[in-house]
Amino acid sequence: MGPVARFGYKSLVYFEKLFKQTLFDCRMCGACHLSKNGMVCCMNCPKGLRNGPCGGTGIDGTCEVEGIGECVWHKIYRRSALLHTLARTEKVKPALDWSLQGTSSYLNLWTGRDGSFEGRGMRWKIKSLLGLERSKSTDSTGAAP
Amino acid sequence: MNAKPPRTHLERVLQERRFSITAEVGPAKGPNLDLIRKKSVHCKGYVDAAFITDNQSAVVRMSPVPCAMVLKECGVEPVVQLTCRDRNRMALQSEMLAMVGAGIHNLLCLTGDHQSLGNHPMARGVFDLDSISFIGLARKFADESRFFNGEQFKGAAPLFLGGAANPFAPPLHARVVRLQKKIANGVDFINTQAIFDLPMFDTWLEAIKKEGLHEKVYILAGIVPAKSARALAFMKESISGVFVPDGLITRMEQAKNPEDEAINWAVEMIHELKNREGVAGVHLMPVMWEAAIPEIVTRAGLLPRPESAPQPESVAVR
Repeated sequence: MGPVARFGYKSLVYFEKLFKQTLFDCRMCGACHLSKNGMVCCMNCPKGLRNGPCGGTGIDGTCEVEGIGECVWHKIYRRSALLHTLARTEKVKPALDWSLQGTSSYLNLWTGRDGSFEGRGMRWKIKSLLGLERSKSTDSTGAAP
Repeated sequence: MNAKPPRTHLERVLQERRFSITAEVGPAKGPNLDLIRKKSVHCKGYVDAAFITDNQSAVVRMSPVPCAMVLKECGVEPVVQLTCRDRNRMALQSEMLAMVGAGIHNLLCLTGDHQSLGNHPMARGVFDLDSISFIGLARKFADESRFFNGEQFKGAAPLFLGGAANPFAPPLHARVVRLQKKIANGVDFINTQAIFDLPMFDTWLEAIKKEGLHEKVYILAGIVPAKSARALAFMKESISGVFVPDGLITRMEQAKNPEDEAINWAVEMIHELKNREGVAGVHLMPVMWEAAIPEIVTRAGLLPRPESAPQPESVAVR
């Protein structure tokens, strides 16, 4: 990456962090599930669970870890119900690629580095929706920052 | 470092100032314990102890403690390596309890290569402790029977503790300070990174001697005999913290029989290192080439190795 691209990338990461940390307590995992989780960051779970709550949730929906209060996943289901996006929480999520931590999830979504759209990314999805994508194309490698 | 009675055979050899020779044995990259039995043949009677690596180069392999138990059954003294990359302080302690319970009392404490260098770059690195704090806590674990949280446990867990040092990684000052910290935390022996460049190693050794550190720990100098020039080039490229001079690669390229040349080179290195004050022994790390160990030890004139005494009763009973 050249100096200009590096500056552009760092700025992107900076503004993403500023925006998502302020609003959602974002942990910059690099593979964002906010939209799938009713706009609640699942990485705030003390165990970092990405597929649902553990068995330690109290009967009143509190976390087993002291000082957390409401279970993060309890909150995810509550907010998802409000936003009518509960179906999105029901998909099986793959293990997190920790090498993405601190990178821009927006760019990872675009390039498919986070595994979105079978690793082909949003850019492939948009192209295919516009009919620009040839059926044989194997444009799956994301630009690694 | 001579006051205490030896806890293990390796410590006894080092205390008696016999130039020790140890080797590295890598567990299988698959469910295969027989590999350890096969490799033990190349070690028995030729080395004082064999080090069992813990997911070396961040590539998944069999867990070191069961491998060390098998090695012990085969009559080779094992040293267990544990890294902080894959285990938090709880997992480290349960491994330590397991090894002591199995009668293994040599432990090498390492931070570990970063997971991005291995075959699982997507894994989350643990790094709950670093090697220096691990050594400090392990010392209390061994000497005071205390868990890392300070809680006392029943029974004794004597350990001969080791750490690692890289004489070639800049800055030199930091290497000396790190070694001092490890000594302050109670390390007994130090394994060095693979030595290819003797003048560079001497610079480090001088810096260590200036502080008198060579009198406080046993320094085991690392030697990596590589089968071919290609293997050396590969190490230069992809193993972190290893520096291979081009001269050696050229020498291997020009050799008629590269394997023989590699053994010759290793023997030369052993003779060089043996003459240096402060070097207590050598540690052989043949990459996937354990069969070279007997040949190297024989040609270096280091046979016979000291007999392993029956374990002192105080240790065996506990």
